[in-house]
Amino acid sequence: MIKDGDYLRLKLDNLEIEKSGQKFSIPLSDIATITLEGNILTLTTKLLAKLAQHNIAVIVCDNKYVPCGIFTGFGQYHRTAKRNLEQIAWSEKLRDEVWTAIIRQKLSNQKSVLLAVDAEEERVEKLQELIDNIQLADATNREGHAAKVYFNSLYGMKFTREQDSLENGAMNYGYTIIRAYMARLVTSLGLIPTLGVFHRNEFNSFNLVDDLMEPFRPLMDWYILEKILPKYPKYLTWEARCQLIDFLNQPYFYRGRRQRLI
Amino acid sequence: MCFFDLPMETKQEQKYYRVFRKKLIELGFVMVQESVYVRTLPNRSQLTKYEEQLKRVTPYNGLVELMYVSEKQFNDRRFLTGEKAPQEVAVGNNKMVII
Repeated sequence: MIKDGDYLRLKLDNLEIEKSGQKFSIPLSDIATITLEGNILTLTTKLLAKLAQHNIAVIVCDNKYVPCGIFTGFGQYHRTAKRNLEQIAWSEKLRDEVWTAIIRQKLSNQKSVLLAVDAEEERVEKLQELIDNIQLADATNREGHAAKVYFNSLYGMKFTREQDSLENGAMNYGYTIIRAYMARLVTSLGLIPTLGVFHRNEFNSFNLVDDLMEPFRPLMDWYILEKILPKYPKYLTWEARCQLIDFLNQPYFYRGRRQRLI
Repeated sequence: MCFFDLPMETKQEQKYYRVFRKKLIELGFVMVQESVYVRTLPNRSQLTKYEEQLKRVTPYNGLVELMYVSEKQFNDRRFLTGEKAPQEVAVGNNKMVII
């Protein structure tokens, strides 16, 4: 996370950050993502090229500190063409199955969040019922219904994702951080981020990324409920934003094994 | 941790020194004091990779030593005089670096 630095440049495979006369350097091979904030930072093209080669995702924030751009490597995977052809050949059936699995995981993660925050039993049961009724490719949009049950249990009956509130701000910020990291993974594996399994928005260049990040959203929701909202109740301070980015360093359990995103 | 003492008498020796030091920095080593460089790594299996790469540019005469210490041991260093450089305070072996 870099705020109002003066210069970013490349120095012998290290990222050199200059800030008020002080220089810091970090080996590129140790970096996964960089978040840039503030208006007066200058960086070199040579550095950007090297960042892309090392598959480092750069997240740029606007003047309201909201992440608004992602820069990722392109075509760095050694068998990009092969992967691309395979990806284009994905069958409808395969995509539907993948999407079903993604949605099932997402909803069950949402259920775990509700259990973790001691939501009303009735609501958890309702969510479980929705999970049980998921059809192939989520044809009946259980996901949408679940989202309503889920968010209303967390933040009250009046809550919608469109409101201009702290909760939504935190979620939008947090999701962008996950999205950038996922975009880095997708491009580094030679996949085409625009070709999704479910998301097919013609204006979206990260359809596949948006598919794959779905199950991670509830993890972020829980993180926000646990670490951000109680500590920073008014607005997303600098510390709160740093903490949101630090989400990527949290361990989590997958199939009983302790893992890290990064 | 890498300590070294390289002869700098001839032009050739000076060149070897420059190549060696440049490689250290390229590999992500940071100077803690003159001729003492440090690199943090996430696990032991990474050690050999860096050792191999350094070996390739190590001059034949002089003295270059590598020492592996755990993060804890490294952080427990005592300063009789002087203090940690700002670089080490800000970057060190943190998972997330805020500048």
